Amino acid sequence: MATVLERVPSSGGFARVARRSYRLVAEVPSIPLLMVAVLAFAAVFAPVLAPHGKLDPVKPTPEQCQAKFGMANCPYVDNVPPFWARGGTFDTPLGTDFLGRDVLSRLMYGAQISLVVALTGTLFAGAIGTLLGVLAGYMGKWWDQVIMRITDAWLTLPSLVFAILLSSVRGPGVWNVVLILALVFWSRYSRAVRGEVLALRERDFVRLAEINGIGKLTIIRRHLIPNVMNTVMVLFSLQVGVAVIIEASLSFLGVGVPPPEPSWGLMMAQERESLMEGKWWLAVFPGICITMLVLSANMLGDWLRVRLDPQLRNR
Amino acid sequence: MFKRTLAILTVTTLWSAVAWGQGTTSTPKPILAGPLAKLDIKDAKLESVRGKPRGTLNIGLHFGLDPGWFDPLGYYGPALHFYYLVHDALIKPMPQGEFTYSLAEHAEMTADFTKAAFRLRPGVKFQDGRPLTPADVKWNYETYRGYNFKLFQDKVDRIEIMDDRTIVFHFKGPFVDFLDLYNGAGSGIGWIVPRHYYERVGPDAFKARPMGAGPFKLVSQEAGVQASFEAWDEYWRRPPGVKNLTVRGIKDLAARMAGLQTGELDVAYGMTGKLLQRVMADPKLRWDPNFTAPWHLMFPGYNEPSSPFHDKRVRQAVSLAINRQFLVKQETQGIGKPWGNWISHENRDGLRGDGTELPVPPYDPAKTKQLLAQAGFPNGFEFDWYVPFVPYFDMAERILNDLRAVGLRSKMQMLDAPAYMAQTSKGRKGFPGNRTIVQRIDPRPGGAKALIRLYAVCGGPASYICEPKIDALWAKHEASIDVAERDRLSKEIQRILVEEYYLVPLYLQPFVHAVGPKVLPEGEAVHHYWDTINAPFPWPWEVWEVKG
Repeated sequence: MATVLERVPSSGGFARVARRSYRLVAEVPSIPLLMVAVLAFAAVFAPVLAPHGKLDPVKPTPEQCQAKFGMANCPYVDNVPPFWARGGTFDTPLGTDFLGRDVLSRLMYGAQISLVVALTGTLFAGAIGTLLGVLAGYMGKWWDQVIMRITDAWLTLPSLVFAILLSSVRGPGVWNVVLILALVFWSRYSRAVRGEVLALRERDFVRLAEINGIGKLTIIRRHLIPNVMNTVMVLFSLQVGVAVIIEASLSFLGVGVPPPEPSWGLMMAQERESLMEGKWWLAVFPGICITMLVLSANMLGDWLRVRLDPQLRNR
Repeated sequence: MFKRTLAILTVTTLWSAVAWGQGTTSTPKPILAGPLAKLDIKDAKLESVRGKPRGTLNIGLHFGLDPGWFDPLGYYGPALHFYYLVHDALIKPMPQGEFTYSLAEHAEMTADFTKAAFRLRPGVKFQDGRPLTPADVKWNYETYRGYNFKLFQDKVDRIEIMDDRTIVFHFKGPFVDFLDLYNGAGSGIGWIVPRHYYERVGPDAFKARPMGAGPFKLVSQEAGVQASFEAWDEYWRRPPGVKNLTVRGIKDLAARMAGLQTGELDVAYGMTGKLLQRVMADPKLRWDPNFTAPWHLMFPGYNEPSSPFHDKRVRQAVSLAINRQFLVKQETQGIGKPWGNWISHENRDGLRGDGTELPVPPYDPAKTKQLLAQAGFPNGFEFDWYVPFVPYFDMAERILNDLRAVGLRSKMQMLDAPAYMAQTSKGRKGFPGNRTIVQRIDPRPGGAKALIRLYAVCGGPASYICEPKIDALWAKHEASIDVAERDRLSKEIQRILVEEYYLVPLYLQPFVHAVGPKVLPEGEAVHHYWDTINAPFPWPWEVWEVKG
């Protein structure tokens, strides 16, 4: 006999949704969100917002050429300081690099690369790891053994060293970095998700679905994956920060995004020498951007973890 | 009276004998019969005052170290730095001359270039005390697998050991370039490794723990990071001036600069680029411009019709797009020289690229665009990779910037030194695509023909060039035993290579070396360390001295 549950008419449904949404927004840590929003905005609208191109030097004025090189015409003027420093201009608010390229514009385009690489790499890692974790946890037997032993082995590899190794095999390139991030981080998801699924598969709704003859794939799709998404989302938000660092480190070491494309890690690497020359703005601004993004991603991830965990939320 | 006469006669006889003996040293007994070729090999400078080595010399190399560089039997480029430390050659470039006797005290070649002979210096030995014999020399020749090994093997008929110091190479035909290539700078074959040790430990263990007949013994090495050496007091020429010597691979220019300033390094290479101005301004540091060779660009696979660089106009456009004058200013504070040949003028028979023999390539972006349009690329095109020489990545980006200004867009493939060397030494196989530009420099002492053989003829070990016109001239060159004609042909080939833009020269590179305050002698007298012609590094190492 089938039981039909009647929908209980809700009193003030809209008001409740609005109240919950407001509470959610109010709880979101505003500073990290703002920082991520600013960086994401700059990344998305870089082609419109950036005062100059990402690769081309800023065309210098004859006065600048004269002052720097003692000639009327020059292809570019390098290492112009930020606008507030002596010799700086508003045309290049954060100064220019060793090739006379606008630092602000390159930071904006660099945000594009850092965010795209970190988000896509983490997303791929999440997809692979979640799928394998669900399979290992739900299918059990040799599935579990094989997947988990590989996962264990993978987890023992130091992530940066492993990423460098993969990079040197695959060669530099934006999409290679994405692939490397996916290959490095999937094991964290599979380990966590498998634990969740082991608990879920003993729950009544999964048992009932099995008794009703629902196929395994359908159970995975309808009952397991939606229920592990909280964990995956928390992991995802925390891993984004790590992915940004890995991408920056790979580019810093020359095996990530190939020049002349702007990447924050690469920008820092290229201007190490300039720090010794007192041209601090060339390495410091990309460093600040990396710090901002990683810190914000971690704070948001932490908040999400608390928000989605009933025990922590009610504490 | 009789006794007095006898005494005078005895003294006179002894004196004559001594004088004759000295005479034989300066005019050695010939080894080969028949007319001999005139060889210009300088005598080694023996330093008989055997002082005590003292202090430590710390060297900052501008790329990572490769243990393979300790094995001359698998020779390639930067390894010479380490050969001069651990090994020794029969003849090698020294401050005295491009060809200077080292383990050999005498060499001969027949006038028809079909035989060459060496007499080893008496008493030369390896670092374990075992004598270095002609059998070791023969074994090295037969076992060598580095650059040009096939040429050496194809040319030799047999190797004859005459006595415990003399060896004769019999060639199948004239081998005019033998001494050029056998000279320590030309390949690894002339650097003698101990057969007994090499065979006992095997090639891999030899690379990890090499032993030779050079002035320094390897103490330890950390692959890619650093190698430490200590003086071998019994080196035949003189005991080294420093007791310990360390070479560290420091790719980062700022780290090398910091090392110099803190006193952790005494010598640092490759100080061009962003920090050169700082080196020049630092009163505690001294620096040597050390002009080596010209930078140049190469186009792997250009001769395949699908390559955009197949069209001469595109290669010419690449050349015209580069603002060499500004590049030199930015990279070398103006001390580099825009240059029109890819071979240094210090190489014998190398054409000067300063406008006297070959013109300095102009900078003409307008003509570049015109040429590209004529070649069917009015908007330029994107090529796969620009591969810079390690670690000159800033310079490469400046060049890429010039190229992008005329529509030639690409990205940089930054390789580590061992990977770059391995890939470029494979020639065409090193870069499978045909839309790549490779930046190269080769400060290889010797004749221009050694570089042509390596980079510019069909089947050359690191060659991307295979042109019938050049190969015909090269075949003539190889067949000729007339030295003047060979020089003329070599120059003709150089001219074609530049005029057809198979190779695009950039500028003569000052490979600036900076020296810290601990290095002796004080002041500018320190420049004598760079007296060896065409040497990228300041060898020989045994003459270096530091404050104790």
